[in-house]
Amino acid sequence: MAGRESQYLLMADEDLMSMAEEDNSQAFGVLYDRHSRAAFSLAYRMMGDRQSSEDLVQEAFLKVWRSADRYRVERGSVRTWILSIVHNRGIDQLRATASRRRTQDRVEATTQKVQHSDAFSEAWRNSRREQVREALQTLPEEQLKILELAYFSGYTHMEISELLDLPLGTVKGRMRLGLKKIKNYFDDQELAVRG
Amino acid sequence: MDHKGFAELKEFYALSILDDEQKSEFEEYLRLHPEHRAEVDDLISVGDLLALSPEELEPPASLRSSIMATVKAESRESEAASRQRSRQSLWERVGDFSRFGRIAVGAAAILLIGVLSWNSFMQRGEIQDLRSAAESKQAAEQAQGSSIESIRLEGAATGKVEVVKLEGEQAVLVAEGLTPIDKDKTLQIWVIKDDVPKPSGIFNPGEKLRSVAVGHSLKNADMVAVTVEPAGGSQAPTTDPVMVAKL
Repeated sequence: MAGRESQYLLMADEDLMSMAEEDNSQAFGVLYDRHSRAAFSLAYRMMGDRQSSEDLVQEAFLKVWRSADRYRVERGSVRTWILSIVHNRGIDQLRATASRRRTQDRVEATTQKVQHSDAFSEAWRNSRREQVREALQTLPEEQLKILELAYFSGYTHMEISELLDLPLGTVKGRMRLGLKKIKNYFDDQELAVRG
Repeated sequence: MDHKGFAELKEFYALSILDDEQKSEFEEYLRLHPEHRAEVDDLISVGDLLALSPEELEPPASLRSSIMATVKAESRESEAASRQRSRQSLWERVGDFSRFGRIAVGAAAILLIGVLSWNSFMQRGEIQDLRSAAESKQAAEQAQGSSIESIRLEGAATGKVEVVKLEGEQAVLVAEGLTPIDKDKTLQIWVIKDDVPKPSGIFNPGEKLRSVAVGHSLKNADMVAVTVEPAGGSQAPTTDPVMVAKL
């Protein structure tokens, strides 16, 4: 690896974003290497197939590249920003699809067929992932289900209400409680929610 | 939207699942009631955590190749556009420079005392040796009755700066008596050809004689200019030239 590229590996995401804003493709490449797994994993969880997930990640990262100047460090980490772009684009695509897929079932059915990452080199990221998973495990199934349908599949509260045949108030209540419990889990563990 | 609507929708907003109309109304309410911003930011932070929960999957290498191919192509285009803007900018600055008579003609030019084969000194990479080697070469040239072409740069900067053409249209810039500049700045040489300024070396001013290889051929070049740039130099001029010579 060239010396300059090696230097990029030591830089903070925020610095790399500043360089990407100046059209530095090498800096952007390092950002991609750091966050593409999380982005692809989220995309796959939302879209349910590899091709759509690749399309979504490509679209999202090119938006990151072209809109690097819109990143604001005070609004959160670079990773959060990248994942929010993946999420928002994914929601748009899901909603634009006439026959929206129930991705949760599709993912559960196909998870065993895909190759899992062996690049668990960045320990803190995995630690963060584990923290989130542990937090989600504290949720009752009915709350988790509603959060997943909303966040990963882009269903509105009314759609979830129809889908699960639940009163609208119940859907709202479970969603509220679910988010609150996740926050409480992090507070109890004295972990930062933002990161 | 009233407060009740806000309270009902804040979790949905945090999960980014409001439709565009609801989202606009919600954000308008938030704009009018900034006291709720922190609460919403907290909810957004919690919602963002969900993005980390899926099983981690490795994207295919072809995806990286595809994205980076586009990124590099756009980077090159942007760089070319930037160069084009710089070219025009510098040319305009040079025009202004001459038009308004900012050239302080006066100081006697320093004479470079010799010429050295460009290839040999590039291979050796020993600029410091240039002068002495050049002196020998000049002596030989003089003995044979040939002449050395040197061009004085003129401008607002104090001191003496001259470009001396070497074999193969290569050149050396020689400077003496230039006023020191800030430590985080440097002087940068530009060879301008067809309105394109090419970065051609940097040097720091000083009272003593300094010689710097000009990093681009002067063949068909229109002008040589010197600007003050950030330490390390720039890819394109960022300031007006302090010295200019038309070739």
